[in-house]
Amino acid sequence: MIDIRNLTKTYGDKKAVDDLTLHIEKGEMYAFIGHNGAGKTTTIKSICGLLDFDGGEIFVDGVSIKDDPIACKRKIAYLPDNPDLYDFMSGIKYLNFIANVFGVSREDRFARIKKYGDMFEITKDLAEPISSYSHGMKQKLAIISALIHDPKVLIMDEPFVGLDPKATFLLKEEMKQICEGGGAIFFSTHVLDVAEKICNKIAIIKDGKLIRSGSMEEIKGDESLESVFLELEDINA
Amino acid sequence: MEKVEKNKKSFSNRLKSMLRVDFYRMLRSRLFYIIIACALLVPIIMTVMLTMMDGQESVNQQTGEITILEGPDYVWESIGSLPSDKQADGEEAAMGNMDVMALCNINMAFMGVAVFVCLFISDDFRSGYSKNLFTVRSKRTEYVISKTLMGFICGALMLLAYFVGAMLGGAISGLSFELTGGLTLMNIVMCIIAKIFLMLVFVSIFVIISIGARSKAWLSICGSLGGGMLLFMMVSMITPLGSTIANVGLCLAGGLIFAVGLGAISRVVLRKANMI
Amino acid sequence: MNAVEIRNLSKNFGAKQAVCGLDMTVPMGAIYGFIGENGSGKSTTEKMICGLIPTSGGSIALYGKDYRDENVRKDMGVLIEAPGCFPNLTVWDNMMLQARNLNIEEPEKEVIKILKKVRMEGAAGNKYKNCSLGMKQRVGIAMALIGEPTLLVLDEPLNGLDADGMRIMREVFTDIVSDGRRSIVVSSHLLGELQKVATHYGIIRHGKMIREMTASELDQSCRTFVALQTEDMDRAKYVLKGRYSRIEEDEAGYIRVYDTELPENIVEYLYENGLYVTEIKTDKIGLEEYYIDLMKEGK
Repeated sequence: MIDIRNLTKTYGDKKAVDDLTLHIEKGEMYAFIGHNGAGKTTTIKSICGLLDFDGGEIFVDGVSIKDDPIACKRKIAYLPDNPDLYDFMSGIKYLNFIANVFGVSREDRFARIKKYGDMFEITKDLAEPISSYSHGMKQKLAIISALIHDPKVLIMDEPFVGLDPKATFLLKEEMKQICEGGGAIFFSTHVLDVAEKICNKIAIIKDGKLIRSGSMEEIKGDESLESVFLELEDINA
Repeated sequence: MEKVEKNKKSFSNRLKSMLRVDFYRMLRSRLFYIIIACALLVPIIMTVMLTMMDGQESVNQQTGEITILEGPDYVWESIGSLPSDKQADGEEAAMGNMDVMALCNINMAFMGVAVFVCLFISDDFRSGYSKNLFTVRSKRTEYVISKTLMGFICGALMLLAYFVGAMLGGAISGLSFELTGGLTLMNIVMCIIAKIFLMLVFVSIFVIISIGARSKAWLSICGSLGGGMLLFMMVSMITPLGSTIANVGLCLAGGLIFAVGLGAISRVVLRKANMI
Repeated sequence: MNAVEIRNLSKNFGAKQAVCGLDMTVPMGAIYGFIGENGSGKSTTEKMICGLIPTSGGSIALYGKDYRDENVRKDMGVLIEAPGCFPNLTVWDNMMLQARNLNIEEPEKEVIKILKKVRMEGAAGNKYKNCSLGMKQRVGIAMALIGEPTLLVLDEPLNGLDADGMRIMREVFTDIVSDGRRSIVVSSHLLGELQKVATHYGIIRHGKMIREMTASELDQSCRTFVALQTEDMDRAKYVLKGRYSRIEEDEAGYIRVYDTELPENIVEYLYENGLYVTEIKTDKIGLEEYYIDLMKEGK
């Protein structure tokens, strides 16, 4: 579904992402891990067409993100690491706005807003302005806005930050269902035991370079993901 | 593990640590240096400009009223109004004279210090440092004392900087340093000292308003400037150029009464309010 | 004597009761994991312990003294919500401020020591506003650690930290309480991380403490299960439901059979029904699942 080939992105002298190649197939729950500043957010933003890149190609279902970004973005849902929402809008207005952007029908959007609003227990807050929301509520609203057009590919940057344990649990369940339904999820996280439990594939990035990628069993074996990751960090230091 | 030495929490130790925090911050605060620099430069610029514009006429197109800009003759006019020596010399005030120096003299420092005090206090709350500050001190007294003292020091430095600036501006503009109308150098000194003590009254007011508003800097600045303006009119009366030891005594007593009285109220406000 | 003893604590914001009749006990030398949903009263309780907001009722005792006692409060460190640092001052200046605030004899030495502990020596000269989220979080923790506080109150200290940062913090926490006297109250939504270090737990809901327990009590309360995989998972689930009361599929794709006897009996039973087990293990539910179950019970 997502094909990243030799992706390179430079900021001045520094290579933020260096010749990264990765393939994300249907049904895969892909964890993307690395230390702060390793290049995770740069990679994710390049996939979503938010950042131009200096080398390589990215294809979403065979379509190049450079040639037809709109067609690619239609298939993807993106959840950034900090929910940037329109503070002046109410929650429901924002969701309707996003639904309009993606051309979601009235019946579908109503059903999904009800479903996810009840799931994350923010339905009663949707009429309030977003400026009055706590960080956790904003994160939940951003998640709902990402799911509202029933995306086949979900790209998320640190989705669990700010979520309480119940919401984390519910999001994980929803992510599982998306993958079981033929979708794919690619997300970065620092919470390695979550990645370990729910993901079947993993990619580890360090200083812009992909140092490991493959199935969870291959990468971690019998050890915990955390010990494997920290070992790799030390070896490559 | 090497034990860290921390002094026991007596009042004097608590106050000492609070003063060290505030001094450290004040000396690293760009605002402090900007305000002192303004206090030094504004009188120089004002004096030079007004001297150059002395005697210029401007006519109000609608009413036909003629206004003559009257520049300063004596360097002391930046500090306060001279006694009626000008009239004694036969300089009759023409209709509609504009004595700009009376409007923007050294007493501007009383307003300028409001900005410093309000921002200095609101920054504690806006940055969230109040959490680290007040977790380790349940008594609030030293906070009020230290902030009042910082404001007082800043205000005193502003007054002195303004004085120096006025002298420099006067020298550059060729104004007279003559003391007329029975004024002596001691009067000038008493005037400055009285103003410094009077600063304590204003700072105490700004501190209590800022503590009430906490993180809302705009509210404390507006409240302080508004409240300060009411007292501003009295400054020239209480601390004229011809000040004596009586004026100094009055300002000192007033300053202490306000500092202690309003300080006690500020402390109560801090104890009952949310620090976060 | 306990590090923190709270009895019947309450806090009202107008008509809203954020905390009502809360009791909490944090023993000395404990890492107390304070868990609750957003809006449960967790942060409000922490703010009251630190004396940052006034209480509406009840008592708080820290190391046997009233929480307003100056001599107890000087030995506290706090990180609640975002770190409290001046954005235009450097990391070094912010930490020196706090060292002076605590009246430490040799503030430079103490700041250098703490910066080394949180691996931030290289960033001391950066202005706080220019630090990344992870670095800011480390600075916040460093500010709380200055002066070797006896009681640390940390609200979501692990947010924004990478895996290495979380490991460092776990080591720091364990090191702090190793003297048996110093204690930490830490709240986090990362229950997996919390479970690695916490010695005690308190679960708060709607302003009340609904459960307090030690780590070993949690371990005993956590249900054991047998997790297995077969070549036909749907049929296996159907078959197992006929004999065992609680069957679930977990997020890693295993079938879980709860509260059961021996795994061999399950294997035999499935074999009798024509199913071969490809993988089987015994495990216990973790803090996260215990907490989710508890919240469901409450409904």
